Amino acid sequence: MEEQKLTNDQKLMAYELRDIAEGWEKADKNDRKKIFIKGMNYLKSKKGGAE
Amino acid sequence: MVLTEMFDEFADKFDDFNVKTEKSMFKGFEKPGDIQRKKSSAAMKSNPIDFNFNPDIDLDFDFNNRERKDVTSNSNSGGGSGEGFDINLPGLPDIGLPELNIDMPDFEFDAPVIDIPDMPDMNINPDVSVPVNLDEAVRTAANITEQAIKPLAETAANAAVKIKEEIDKAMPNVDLNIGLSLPELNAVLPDVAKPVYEAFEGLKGDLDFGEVTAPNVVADDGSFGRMGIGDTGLAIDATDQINTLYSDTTSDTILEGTNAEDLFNVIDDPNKFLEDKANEVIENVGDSVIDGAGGVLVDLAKGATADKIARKIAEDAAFDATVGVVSGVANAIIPGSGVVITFVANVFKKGCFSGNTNIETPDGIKKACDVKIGDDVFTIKKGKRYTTRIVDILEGYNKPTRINTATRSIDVTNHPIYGRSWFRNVYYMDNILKTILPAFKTGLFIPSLTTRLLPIRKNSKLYDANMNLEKVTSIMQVYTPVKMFDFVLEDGFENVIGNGFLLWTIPKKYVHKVLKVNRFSSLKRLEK
Repeated sequence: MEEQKLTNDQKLMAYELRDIAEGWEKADKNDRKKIFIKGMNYLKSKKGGAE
Repeated sequence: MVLTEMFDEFADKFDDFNVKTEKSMFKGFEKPGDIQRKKSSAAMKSNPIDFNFNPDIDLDFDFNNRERKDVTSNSNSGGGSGEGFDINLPGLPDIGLPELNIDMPDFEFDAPVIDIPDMPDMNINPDVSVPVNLDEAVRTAANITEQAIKPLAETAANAAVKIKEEIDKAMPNVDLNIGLSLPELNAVLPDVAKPVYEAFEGLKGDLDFGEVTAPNVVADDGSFGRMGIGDTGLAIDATDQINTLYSDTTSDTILEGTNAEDLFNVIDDPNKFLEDKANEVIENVGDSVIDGAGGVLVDLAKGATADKIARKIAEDAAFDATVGVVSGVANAIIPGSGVVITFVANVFKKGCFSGNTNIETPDGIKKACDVKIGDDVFTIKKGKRYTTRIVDILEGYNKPTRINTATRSIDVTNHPIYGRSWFRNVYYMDNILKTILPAFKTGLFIPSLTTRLLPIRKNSKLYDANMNLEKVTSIMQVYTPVKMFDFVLEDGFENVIGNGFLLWTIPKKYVHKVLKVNRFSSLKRLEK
């Protein structure tokens, strides 16, 4: 039910964040940096969208 | 013009004419601008170990002033029909014979003597200079690439590998942190330049490098901001770009004013981060204990005995020492953030003692891994033995420390701040009674002493659950992660007896504090 309230864009962002989170545990430190950067870009885009 | 700009310019040109080039070993590099790069290969033929190749050598074609000239070519050239250029294709007429004269990068070593295999024959007339249709020129270039330049480039690349191997042999510990630009790197080690280029292109998708067209290549020491490049041992220093992104992302949020490196490190390895930061914030814990000292004075006024006061200090400080330090550290990074609590919870979720620990219960000895929620266990409070109930169990995998005494051993988690001091309530009490209490009696109370929980070492004396002293005979690090446990007890009880020792557990009052903002905790059901 909760999911139905989300827009498609929001769902995509949620999936993206989930994928980022799932990749973290298996990643080495260098790949974690890349994930960290992707996470920041994700948050930045979300922040920009809110504005 | 730098290489990367050249790539883009020429790639655009190719797209315009819908021309496909032949693939070669330089996949990812295989853009027309690479023809210039292949000049370096040709240069290596004439002077195989001469690094004085100028990667910025001028081309005949000026991409910044590419006005289309009169069309003189035929019209049967596919997408390029009627759009010919009267140019000398870069690298065709004078390939192999460029005039080379650049400054060497700041990188000195004795060039090893290496046998370069014979170069393949090149059937190229250096005097050829024919105005051509671009499409034809590309086809010709592709043929030349396949027949001559590619084998030459392969040979040069192999030679470069050998050179790098010789460098590694000669200077195995050399620090390459010399800030090479991509063109410079290409001149010195072309086989390394390719992965650098690819890594840089990848980073540009996520980070804004602005006008930077050649990354700062440094040795990969694993530090934050240095993005490793495959297994080359090199990294692109993207510290400034990451910090800029972080600043943009966190402005006007609770993370504003914090820094990317701290946040990354705390996520990457909370325990290590705590160890690194502990000394910076430990005085903050002293402040909390000073506050406790105020309470002590009140207790004195009420006629409490010095012994009870000392125990109260010990109990409060033991709690504050952990929660205070951890929260203090996290608050220092992320002021006012719920991340603090989540972070603390994650530390505790690693568990405190191994599943093999013998837990004393009213029903006899049980392995920690066999204890269930709702089971009764023995605990000790103010020197008396009680029965209490387990209301939740934390589990996690960790590499424990094995502490051996003459009569027993136990595997426990390293405390994130103080090392092997999950026994702190026992050992700590000992220190309180021996140091603080006498000082207190003489009017010399030094609160900061109460925060100096000493890590357990060989010959440390520990009280067991019966208040008998046990001397530590050895300490071992277990390198295989094992499942570790921690119990949450009914309110008012904060330790269990395991392997005869008094083992500190996470207090329920603290668990509740965690749960107020930690919505991901498995303990959520406890919050009511």
